[in-house]
Amino acid sequence: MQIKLEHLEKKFGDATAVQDLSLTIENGKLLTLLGPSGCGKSTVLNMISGILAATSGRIWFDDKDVTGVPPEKRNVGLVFQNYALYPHMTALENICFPLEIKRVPKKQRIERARELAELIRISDLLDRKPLQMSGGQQQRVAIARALAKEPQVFLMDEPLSNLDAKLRVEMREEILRIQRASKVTTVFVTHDQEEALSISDSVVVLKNGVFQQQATARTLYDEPENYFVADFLGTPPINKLFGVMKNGCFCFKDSDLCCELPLRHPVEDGKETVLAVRPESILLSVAQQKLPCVVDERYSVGKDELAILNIAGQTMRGFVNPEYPISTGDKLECGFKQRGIFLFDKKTGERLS
Amino acid sequence: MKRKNELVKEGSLVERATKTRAFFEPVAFLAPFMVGLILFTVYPFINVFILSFKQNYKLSGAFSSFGLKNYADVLSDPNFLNGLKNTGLYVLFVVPIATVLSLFIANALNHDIKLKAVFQTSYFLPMVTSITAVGLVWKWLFNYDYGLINYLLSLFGISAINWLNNPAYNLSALIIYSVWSMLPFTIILLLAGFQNVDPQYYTAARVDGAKSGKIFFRITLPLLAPTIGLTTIINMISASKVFTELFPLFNGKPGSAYSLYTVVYYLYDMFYAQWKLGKAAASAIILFFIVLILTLLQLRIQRKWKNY
Ligand SMILES: Nc1ncnc2c1ncn2[C@@H]1O[C@H](COP(=O)(O)OP(=O)(O)O)[C@@H](O)[C@H]1O
Ligand SMILES: [Mg+2]
Repeated sequence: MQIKLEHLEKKFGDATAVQDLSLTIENGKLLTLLGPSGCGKSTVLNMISGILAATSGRIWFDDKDVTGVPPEKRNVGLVFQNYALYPHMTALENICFPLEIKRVPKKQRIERARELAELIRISDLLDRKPLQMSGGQQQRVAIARALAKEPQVFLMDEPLSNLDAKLRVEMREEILRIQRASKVTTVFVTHDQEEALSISDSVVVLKNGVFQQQATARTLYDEPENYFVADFLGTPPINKLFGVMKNGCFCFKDSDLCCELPLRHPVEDGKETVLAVRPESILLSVAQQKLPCVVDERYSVGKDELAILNIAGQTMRGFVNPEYPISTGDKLECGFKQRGIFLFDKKTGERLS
Repeated sequence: MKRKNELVKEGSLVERATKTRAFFEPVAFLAPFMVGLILFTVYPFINVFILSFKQNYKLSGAFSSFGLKNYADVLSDPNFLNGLKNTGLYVLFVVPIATVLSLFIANALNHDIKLKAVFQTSYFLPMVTSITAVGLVWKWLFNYDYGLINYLLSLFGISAINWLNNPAYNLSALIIYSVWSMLPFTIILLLAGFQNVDPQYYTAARVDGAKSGKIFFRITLPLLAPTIGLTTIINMISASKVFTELFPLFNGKPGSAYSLYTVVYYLYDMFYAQWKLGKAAASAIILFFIVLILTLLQLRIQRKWKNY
């Protein structure tokens, strides 16, 4: 089932939660909606499931317009953020419930539920009620319930946000495996960039209900289309260096230090810009550019060594080779790799280089 | 409690002080209530219990013999047996009807229905009005010649019923009136129960494909079961003590032909009208045990119904 959103819009009173969103999710693919809390991810998901009515725009499942179809007729499976398992039913009854509604005979229902439980590895939990299960177990049951009726569309709203870090990674892989096995078109919502990057075929970044960019995880990281996307992805966050354009070069703010960059198109002098540099794109030893900087501090985070560098009065974080002999106070020359360095218009966020 | 004991190490001064406080603080807070309870409930109850074994008890304190004769007399008194039967029928009809009606009304009130404000005021009405005053109004509603109820029945081609003066219909009239007066309290409790159900379950059920009827019976009702159990138990206890309701409808008589005795009316009759204190006490104790058994049964069922 291919899902297509056309100029989808949702208003709550005067507030616009989702604005002019158009995208296509190909049959059998997993798409992630990524964005900070409150950017309208759940709203989009709830419009796809039919829980919320769109203010305007259309939703297509293949060539069927489902915009006005109520949720009970859309045949979507939805995993709620807090699972919403029925507390008075056992795991088995929860999984069987959508089948019961479909009037599947009891024997077949249970058979199918057991199959799913096998796939999702909860066979030993089927007699428990939701309150007797951990978050991770509840989540699996919720997934099984959503998949039980063989939905045309599988929707998950931040299903991993209630789990601890280790379980989250495990479940992430699990979900990926289940999705690959069931081949159902899936929309996965998260505010966690790492989760989005590791799970999906394609990621859509949203900001305040407005579409930012759709791409593969890799492309999103390597080629962000605007400042927001560049800033939202990556840990530690991308370095932001402020400056203005002079003769087609980026010049650091309040300094005559400039560096040349391959511009996408000519930019007028005096435009305020932001140079965004990934921490791994800072070169300390053999750099093309020779930009003088001072080491403010050096520290390690787990396996990585980081240095805080002062360049023309601004600071940036960069990874350093653990063997590289620099320490606080050292003056040296640095430069940037070709990859992971972007120039943005400060006002519009448009990418210039 | 147990946990606290495990956590606190034995013997330290601080701990001993805490323990002392942990005992005296609740006692101090509870004392006024406990004194009231002992003075006005426990002590009288014990007295009534003892009294129920004394034959021909006089207020002077004299009595002829001690034993089970009062119980034997009460249990063979046709008025008492009639009262037992009427009370049983009354409970059997009033409580389920009131519960089901309340469920529907509370469900409607829980949804955004039209005229919600009007409804909310009107279902509360029986609660804030005096049972006797309203009873008199109902007496008019039940009036054979001019009553609204007979008028409504006539619209459906049903001939007038002599609700209050034909003994065959006395119990029905009492039940109708009592269901009405039981509604507000039940609705309020059920409404609280309805509002405690997380609306996300309804959303989930809709996504699962369920329509509203299915959602009501498979999701709402089971989640409401503990509340329904609670209202049933409270209503059963109060219905077993039916008495006040008789006065306005039948001019203080137990039905138009003295045929609508209830257990409490019998008790009242023995005590105030006939001064048979021992028999009154015995019937009180019998009623007490009936209510106790009902309560225990209900608690058991309720525990089973508490399903998550
Ligand atoms: N039922 C609602 N009524 C009014 N505003 C809402 C409602 N649901 C969501 N919103 C608003 O819409 C925006 C998007 O919300 P949501 O889709 O829940 O964000 P996300 O899931 O990305 O955190 C938020 O600003 C939120 O306050
Ligand atoms: Mg959300």
